[in-house]
Amino acid sequence: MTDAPRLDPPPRLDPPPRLDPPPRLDEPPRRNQPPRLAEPPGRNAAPRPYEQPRRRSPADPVLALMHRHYDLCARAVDPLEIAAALEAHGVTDRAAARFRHRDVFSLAEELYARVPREPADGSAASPPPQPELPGRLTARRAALHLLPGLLCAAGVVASHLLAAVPYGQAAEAALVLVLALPAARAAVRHGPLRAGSMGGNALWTCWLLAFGLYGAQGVTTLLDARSSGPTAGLPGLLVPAFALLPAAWCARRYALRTRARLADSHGLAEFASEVRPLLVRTFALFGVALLVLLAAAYTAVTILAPAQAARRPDPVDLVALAGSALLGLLLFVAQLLSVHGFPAVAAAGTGAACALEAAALVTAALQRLPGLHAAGRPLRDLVRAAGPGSVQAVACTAAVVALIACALPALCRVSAHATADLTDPTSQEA
Amino acid sequence: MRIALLTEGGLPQPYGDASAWCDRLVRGLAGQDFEVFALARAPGEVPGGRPELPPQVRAVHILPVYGAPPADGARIPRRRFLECYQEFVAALTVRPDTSALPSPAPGLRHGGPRTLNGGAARSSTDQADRFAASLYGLAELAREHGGLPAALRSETAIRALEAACRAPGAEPLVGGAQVRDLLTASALLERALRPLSVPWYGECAAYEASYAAYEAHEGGTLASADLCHATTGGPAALPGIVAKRFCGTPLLITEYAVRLREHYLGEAASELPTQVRALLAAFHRLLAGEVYRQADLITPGNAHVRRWQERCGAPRTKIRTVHPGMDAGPLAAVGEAAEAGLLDADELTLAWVGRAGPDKDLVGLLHAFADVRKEEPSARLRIISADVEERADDRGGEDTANDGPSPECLDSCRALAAQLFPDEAADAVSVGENPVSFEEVGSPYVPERADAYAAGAVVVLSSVVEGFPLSLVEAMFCGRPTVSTDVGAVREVIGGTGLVVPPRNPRALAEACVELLRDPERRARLGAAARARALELFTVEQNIRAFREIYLDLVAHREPAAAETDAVPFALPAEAHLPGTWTGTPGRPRRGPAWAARGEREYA
Repeated sequence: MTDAPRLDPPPRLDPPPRLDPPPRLDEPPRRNQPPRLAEPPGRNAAPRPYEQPRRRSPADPVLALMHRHYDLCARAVDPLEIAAALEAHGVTDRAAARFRHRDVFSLAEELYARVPREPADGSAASPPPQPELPGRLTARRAALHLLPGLLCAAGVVASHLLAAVPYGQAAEAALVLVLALPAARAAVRHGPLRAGSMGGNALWTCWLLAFGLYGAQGVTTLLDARSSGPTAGLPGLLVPAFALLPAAWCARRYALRTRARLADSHGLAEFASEVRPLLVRTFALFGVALLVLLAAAYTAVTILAPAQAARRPDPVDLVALAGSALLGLLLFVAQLLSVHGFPAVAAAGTGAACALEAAALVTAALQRLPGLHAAGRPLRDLVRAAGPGSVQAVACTAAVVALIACALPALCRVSAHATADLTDPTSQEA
Repeated sequence: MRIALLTEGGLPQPYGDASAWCDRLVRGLAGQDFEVFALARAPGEVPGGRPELPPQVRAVHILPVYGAPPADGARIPRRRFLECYQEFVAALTVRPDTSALPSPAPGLRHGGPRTLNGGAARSSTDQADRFAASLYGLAELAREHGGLPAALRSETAIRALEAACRAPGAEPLVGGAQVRDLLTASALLERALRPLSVPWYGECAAYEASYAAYEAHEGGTLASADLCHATTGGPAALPGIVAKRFCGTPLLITEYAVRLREHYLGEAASELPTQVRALLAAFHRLLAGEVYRQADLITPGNAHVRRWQERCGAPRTKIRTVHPGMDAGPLAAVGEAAEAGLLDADELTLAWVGRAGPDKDLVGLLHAFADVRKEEPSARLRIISADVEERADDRGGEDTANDGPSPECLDSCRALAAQLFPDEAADAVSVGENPVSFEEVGSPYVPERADAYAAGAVVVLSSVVEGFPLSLVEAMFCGRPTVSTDVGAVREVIGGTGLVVPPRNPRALAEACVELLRDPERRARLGAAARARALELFTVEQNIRAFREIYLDLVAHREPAAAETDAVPFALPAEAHLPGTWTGTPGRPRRGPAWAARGEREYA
């Protein structure tokens, strides 16, 4: 049948004829007597079947309507919304007259006033099904994230085979970098680390990785002017390369947790106070992952170098590896900022690290000029104390501290988590 | 004249939701220049799939109001933005005064609350004024500095929204807005306000930066247009009121379906939380009111639309009903034949033509026909399914939910007809048939829609919900006598040229049908009157003529923009705005590359 509502019969305001007082015979018939008191002559001739379904209308005709459209009225946010829905159900102004209202609008206003609204937390009780956050870390994507690390590991092994070939290590390291960079880029583009816009971040990242490879060698060569043959710090690349997978996992975990907070926190301040420890934990978690990787890399390097295995664990090597771990942390923080809509901040942080490293190289070159020798003293002291890898460690430490200081307030804002939140298919990219 | 058509809808169809009549209007006014400024609500197909546009459409500008905002890289002055936005969200969240209903005295609930309660009326005007002032403030910021979309999604904006929701006088519905709701609402408000940032309002330094962010800009702007014609109210008219404010372009609003009402019906079905829906509803309500107030003329399609517009604050003096026009061409032959008495329709046949659906109450029609058969045992009923052009723009008061033909409904009606009326045969040796036949347009006996109307001596409309009843108008064009139920705009359409009975009253419907079936002379009289009335009121030509006159009138009475009146008196002479183009005959639209067009405009 039809889904439109059956309307109540019109309330009959006039009393039924049998209750009328009998016309008094001594009174002259009034000319302007309303016709309702007397049956029209035509009706007497043929009693019309219309008289049968005479039903008494209830005292409150709106009650039935309210009951029928209760959900609609409870859900409405505006009397006009009820009016629109009533009209869609066939209630017109003429129908509203039966409910003793002038029009649908005033009828809707009465309904709006009489039906209690849904409780404000009613929506929280049954939240709409959220679309899945894009950027799930599937097995395939995880493998893609592992690829740069594997490439580097293969490179490290190969570099030991090539130790005797002049320039062999350096060339092979360059080859590894050229292969690993597109792999890393492909991984970042399709996983949880995907950022809408990178700013200048990509370029700075390339520079930072290249400096990780050749920086220590370059600084030493420039400072001491004695070349021990071109080598590359390929083991230093191991930690950031393998850190890609934990970084993606941490970023995914952070995004999911903040999304859950987003759904159940009641105010912006509450949200920020809930997310801040979460962010700190994420950084800490990634730091632990880096430490594990660092230990593994150190072990691998010492095992793979049997020629120098006799010597004691060298703090200089440790500093160099710590520098590469810090590079990994820097890249993670920068990427997290890019993912959540702050690519400019991220680019500024990585750019600052690049500037520091470049300044070290320039200083090392300039201090060889006559008269400028004194300018290179701090650098020389640093390198003498902690080895050439310390340049990278210092630059990355400074940049990481600055970036984390920026990220702590920025990533706790609600607007940083708005991108993938809206329940809208168009705003999401797979 | 250069007319800017403001539309809203899906991408492939540049006219948006109002495509049918818009297309007829543009093709009818071949001498004018049109430019379409469309808001695209959802990504559509590629623009190549767009239908062929007539040459008088010079350019189509499309602003996507979905997805992430385009980044124009400009920075908005934070403090002024915050002031405007706080005012804006305060206007959205402040409690409307519907609670000021007069205490319902039994039997006397007449009278609007706003007129009875002076305080309520005043504060609702305050709310509208605050909304308008802050809206124009935001538009000015976007015009001068750009960067509005990013600012609307920033933490500052979300914080301002939260503060407004928690403010003491706020609507209780939005008070419980959670972080997620605030985010969603901010994003949706940003989309709704995106037309403020689009470079459509004349030359301005801030827009140059945003040209790259939006589509390549080719053709004119709303400032160079002589008239803005919004094809619906609400968001589509938002560029219109901004252009009116900044450039003084007159604004005409045509609504064949109330945009606000459609918003309510659409939002009610959406999954958005109550708080977000409340905010959006407030925005659309206030926007509709402001649009109606700013418009120079509002042309509703029927009385139902007009009632909604008046309810939303449209001044009565600015409203002029322009009935939608229909193409009478295919029906003309049948109409003329009917008038000449040459139509050999079966004397005792009723016809129902339309798209079956639950709101058409075919069940009631069958019950009515059972009553007719008691009086006229040889009467027949032909139910003809036709794909009557029923688009959202023409329907007016109809539910958008039950769209499209519904075969289940037709099947159940077939079953009911088989139960009510057994097959009948003339004698014992012939094959019988049912007095109720179900056909569709395109079948051998009813090849065209006109034949469907010609099939019956009386055309019946039995709907319980109806907007602008197009099948009734078509029947009138065909010169058929009609019996229809009193729903929607039926009374307005039919005038006195057909019988009208209450809805859901099969017996009254049957009596009216029997009366007409028994009185051929009255049938002919009513049919001729109906045809005359339809040809007078509901033809495309009438519609186009009305709009041409309105265009001329509005362009002639153009007033300077609010921004221009601050200047020196008489600084702008009357001839400063010349309708049309200087060169008289407009040339072909520029088809050069976007950068060339931009350069031309800069150095012109």
